[in-house]
Amino acid sequence: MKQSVFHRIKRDRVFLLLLLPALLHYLLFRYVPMFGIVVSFMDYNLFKGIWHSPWVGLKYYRMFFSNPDAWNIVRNTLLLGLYKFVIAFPAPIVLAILFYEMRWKKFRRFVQSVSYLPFFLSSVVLSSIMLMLLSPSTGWVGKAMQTLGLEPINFLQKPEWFRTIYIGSDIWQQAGYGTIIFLAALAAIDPQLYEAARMDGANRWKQTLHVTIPGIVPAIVIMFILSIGGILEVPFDKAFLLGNAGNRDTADIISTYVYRIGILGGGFSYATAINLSIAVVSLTFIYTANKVSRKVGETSLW
Amino acid sequence: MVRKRIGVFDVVNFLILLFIAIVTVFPFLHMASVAISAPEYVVRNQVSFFPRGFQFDALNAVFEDKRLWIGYRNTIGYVLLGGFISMSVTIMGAYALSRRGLVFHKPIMLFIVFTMMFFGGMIPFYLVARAYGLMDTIWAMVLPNAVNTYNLIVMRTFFSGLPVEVEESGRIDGLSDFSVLTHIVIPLSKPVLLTIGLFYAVEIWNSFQGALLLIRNPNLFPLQLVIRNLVVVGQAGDVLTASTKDGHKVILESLKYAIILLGCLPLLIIYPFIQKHFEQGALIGSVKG
Amino acid sequence: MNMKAFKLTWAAAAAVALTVSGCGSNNNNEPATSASSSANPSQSAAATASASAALPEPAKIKIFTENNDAWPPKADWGVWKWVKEETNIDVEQVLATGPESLALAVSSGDMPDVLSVFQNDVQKFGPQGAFEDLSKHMDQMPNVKAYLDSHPDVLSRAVSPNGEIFNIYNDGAGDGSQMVWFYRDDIFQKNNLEVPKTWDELYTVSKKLKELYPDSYPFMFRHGLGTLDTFGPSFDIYPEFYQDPADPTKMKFGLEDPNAKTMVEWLNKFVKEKLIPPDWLTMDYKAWTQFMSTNKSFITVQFIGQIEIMNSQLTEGHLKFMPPPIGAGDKPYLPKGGQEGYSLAVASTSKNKDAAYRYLDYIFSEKGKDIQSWGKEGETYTVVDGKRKFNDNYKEANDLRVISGIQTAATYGWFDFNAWLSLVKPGEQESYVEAPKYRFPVAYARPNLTADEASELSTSNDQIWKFWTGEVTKFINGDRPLSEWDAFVKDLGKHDLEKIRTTYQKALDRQIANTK
Repeated sequence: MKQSVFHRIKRDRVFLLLLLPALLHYLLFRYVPMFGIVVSFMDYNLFKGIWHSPWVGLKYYRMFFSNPDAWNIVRNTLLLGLYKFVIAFPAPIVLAILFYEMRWKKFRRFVQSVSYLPFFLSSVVLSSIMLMLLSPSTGWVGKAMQTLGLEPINFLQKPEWFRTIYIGSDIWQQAGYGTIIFLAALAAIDPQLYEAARMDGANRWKQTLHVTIPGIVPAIVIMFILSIGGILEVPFDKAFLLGNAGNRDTADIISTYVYRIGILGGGFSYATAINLSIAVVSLTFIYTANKVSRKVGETSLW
Repeated sequence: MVRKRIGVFDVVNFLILLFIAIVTVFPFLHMASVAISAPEYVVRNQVSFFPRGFQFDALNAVFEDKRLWIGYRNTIGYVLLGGFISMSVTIMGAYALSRRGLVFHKPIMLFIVFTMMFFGGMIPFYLVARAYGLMDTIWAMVLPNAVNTYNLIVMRTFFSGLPVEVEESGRIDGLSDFSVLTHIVIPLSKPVLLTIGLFYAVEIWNSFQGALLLIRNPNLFPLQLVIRNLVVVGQAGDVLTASTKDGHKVILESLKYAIILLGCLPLLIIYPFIQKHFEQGALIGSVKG
Repeated sequence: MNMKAFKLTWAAAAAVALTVSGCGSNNNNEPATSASSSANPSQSAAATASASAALPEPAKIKIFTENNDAWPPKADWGVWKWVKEETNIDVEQVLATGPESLALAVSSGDMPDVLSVFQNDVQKFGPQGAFEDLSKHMDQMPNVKAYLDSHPDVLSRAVSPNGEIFNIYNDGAGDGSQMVWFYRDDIFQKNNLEVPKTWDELYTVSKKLKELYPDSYPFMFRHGLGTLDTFGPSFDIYPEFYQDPADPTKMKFGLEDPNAKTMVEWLNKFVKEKLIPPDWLTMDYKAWTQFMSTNKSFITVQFIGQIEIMNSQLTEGHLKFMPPPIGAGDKPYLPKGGQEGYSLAVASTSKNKDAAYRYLDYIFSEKGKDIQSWGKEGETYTVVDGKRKFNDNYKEANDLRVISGIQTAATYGWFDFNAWLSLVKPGEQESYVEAPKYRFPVAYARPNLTADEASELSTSNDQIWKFWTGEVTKFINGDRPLSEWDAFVKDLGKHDLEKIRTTYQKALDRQIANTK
């Protein structure tokens, strides 16, 4: 057996060599940082370095779990993830069905093309546009509200608006592009099924309900399961760029908190402890989601 | 299809989609319009979809600001260099992983996929990047995310799907393992490679957090960081001191919109030409891993 | 270590410096050139007065400074040229590129050699070890030592409880960086309005202005919540911790004072009735100038120098200093200005420490003070009838900054404010005379902490700051009814208020004990 392993290594040496840069990348930028989590168990001081900083055990974990802000930050992150899941997830499905039902093909094509575009905007450009449009004194939205006789709202300084803005802009950016996968599923539906439904006297609504939607349920299930794992992974950029003292009650999420406490405040140990606590929870999430997806959808990440 | 009658639903659907198109396009149109409108119309909020009283002062002022050009230059450099690195490493890795019966295949895949589920977090990453000496170098922008696991797996799947016979015939012709990659696999996979290359390019073009953490030298700032500093932090105003010599008044809104517009202009220009590949990108991802 | 012992150490250090010649350049491998320059510290202090015949070896340092919109830094500023001429040091100015620049620089471990920093930066990063303890290097900086000895107030602000000195505060130009109130006196005159003496009158007059100019937001400021530091004194408080003027042995948290509520109530009223721009929280300098120059705002709070800067930009109209309106109590107060907030620190990771010390020593010398404030005769000024007069290309005081970088962050140690005043138009001098009359009895400052205390408080300070700024913003914007103010004050306790208070109180007690 041993011989055969050596033999196979020798046989595959070119392949292993080709794989080396990628593996090195994973080692250096994914695995080494995992060991960096030891700093969460010490009083890490940047200027003393990792070898001279004292061990403090679970001090920073206790600190995180007893911190009144912590719960709020975890809640903000979870809620954003959940809302995204519940509200932003169905958007591309509905849109895909609307596209599918549009009979004027040229128009459909045009709207499709347009709606994919925002997906490729950077978070900085997107956030900048939001800031500009929503500024109460100079933004278009505020002025439009004024013209309508409404009181302009200072959207970005109100905690109660942050989630709406966040999820809304997510939908604006991603719903269009998200349709592609469902459109592919829709295109695969057998036209004879519609024929049969019409024979049975089903109108368009009934056809949608009984043919179209069942036709894409497998795709929906797969996408649904795949996105469960991402609930805790709310990206840093947009929350950071749109957050300010006014809306921090809802806009402060784990990653922005870690950035502020850790990088800006020099509280590396504490911030790492937060990071690790969340990463462990997140791992359970993804692992479970994948287990479920193997069972239900017969598909998985690996 | 036989369904020909235009019903109420078709009309409603048309209106909904029209609305969606307008909502999607509006920010772009509004942004461009404000950027090139005369201040008096902007101030009075008379600019929505179309510009009024053409005036290019804001654009000119932005053009004269060095920072934006430095950002452009850097970002283009990062995209070229990073795109090259990412593609090379990913192609080589995917090719190796697509090898049937590769030794250690399972543990290697586990090694790779585990990183999708668990990440040390921002601080350990930061400390590690700092220890590697990446701080304030162009490598900070191209190395840490050189391989996107998702892209790697998609590419591997595609390579595995290539007919065995083609590769075999290459070997019979005396091609080495490496030459099979360059002479057979790559030419056969052009569309996928192009799509994945585009995704890497967009990812690098748009990346912000890495730069925020690791780049402090303004001469290395990527475009996204420059836009953020100018628009979100609000340093746009200082462009003005240099630009009002001709007596025209440039107002802040036009200026900021002009900056954002220039920030996404390349995408807007090339989008119609590469849209197909972007569409492809969403689909190849659905191939089972 | 108490103060006496500390001074003794110093004297000892200086004595050592006198006997051990050239110790400053010991770790330099170029003995031949450096020996002559720093052979004798006391002599080198005197030497700066004579012509710079023997320049020390060339060096290069990076200095971290703010990046100010109103005087964009230039590499060819005279101030850097003079530094080069006097000390043979090439300075590369590293600019703050965003609000997190300094923190990122510290975290990266790759800091510029010299940093211009505020007290809270030092309290945060000093105990972590980011900055060099300058008290150990006074032998290399005799002029700095002399400066500190002649400025006991600066010294007491700079010394940490363990006797370290992480930063040296600037002095002299504090009068130019006070926050003051000013208003459009032409508009007031035209409409026959009285200058408000109280917040009540401020409100009435703003209402009137809003009627006259419906598009305007009569009262504006650009420092967001930071402006509360300036509003506070007119309500007899500062927002966070400071030495209680009623009992200087006690630390006080301003927001707990009932007057804080009054202040927030007023601001809430102003916002509600659109007398303050709705995005007051995030206004930047450009937005501020736009409002002030387009008749959209008439009363404001800003740095004192901005009065003249804006007046020279206004095509019509005129701005004038006004006494701060009284919000509570019976005396109008501005924050205790005059002290400079900026200070200079040397990075502990710097590889050019000797040059950094040399730089500090130069700018805190008498000669450095003179040159960095006035420039050089013939180049920037001429002497007429025994009085210095700046060249004609300096039309207003701010031109000193714009053209030559004079009186900008980190370019000077102590400033000769007469240089600045000599260019202030006679009509504008008044504000500089008036402003000091309204100083609040105590400065908005906290006693220095030890490293342990600081690390203990680092997250607590962030927490409470986040909490109160968030809540106060809500109160001001009307998102939380002011009837809940008491509940808010009570909730401060949940955010480690007592822990912070005890720590600072301990620090204050220690400071008082040490100065006795």
